[in-house]
Amino acid sequence: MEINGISSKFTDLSSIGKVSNNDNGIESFKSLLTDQLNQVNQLQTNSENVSADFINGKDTDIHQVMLSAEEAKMSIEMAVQIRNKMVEAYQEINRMQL
Amino acid sequence: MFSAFRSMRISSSGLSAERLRMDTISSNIANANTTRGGNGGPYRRKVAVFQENLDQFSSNGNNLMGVKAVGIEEDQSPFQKVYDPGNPDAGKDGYVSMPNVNVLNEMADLITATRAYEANVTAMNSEKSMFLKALEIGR
Repeated sequence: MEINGISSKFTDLSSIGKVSNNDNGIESFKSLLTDQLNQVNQLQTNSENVSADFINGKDTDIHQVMLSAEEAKMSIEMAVQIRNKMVEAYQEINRMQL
Repeated sequence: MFSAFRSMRISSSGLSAERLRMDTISSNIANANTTRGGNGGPYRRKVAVFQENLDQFSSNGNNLMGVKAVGIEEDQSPFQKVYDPGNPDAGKDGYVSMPNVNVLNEMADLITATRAYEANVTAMNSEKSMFLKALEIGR
């Protein structure tokens, strides 16, 4: 998962705080979220494919199997942390007294 | 390639290189007494040649990609001659050319390759723990 990509795309969050009903802003946030989740999913399927290749005896090194498993796990943990931060931000906004 | 995992891919390339070197060492040890090699003469000691792997297409200066194996070459040092007239591969003077493999050197190279493999694994584990530590920022 590309760390640089997320940090540069979060500058688009300023469009969410606007009062005007900017549907385009909310649409792009959803699309970038699904993009990043697709990348995480891609790492998971990649790890499964490499493990299946190794078990079937194709020319794969054991360290590539372990490395792809670690990458999948690390990207999931990072996605969980991102989700925590987003939920926290949402709750923070919810707590605002109107 | 995901930039966050590039450092682990570099260590992975080191692991592949050490595995290839292990293969050549095993081949040398197994063929230490082979008098009939690939092209006529006795077996020639094989050496794996490695080269630094640089990414030509990266935009910033950070183009490290580890190591890559450019090939397996043969050691050109001379063969040892052993006097053994009864051997079917002996020349007219009774000398047999034995492979230029010194098993003691191969054992030392074997230990080197093993330790290098473990060092790469340690580097990979350290990189992973650094990544996970970074995820704890602001927890």
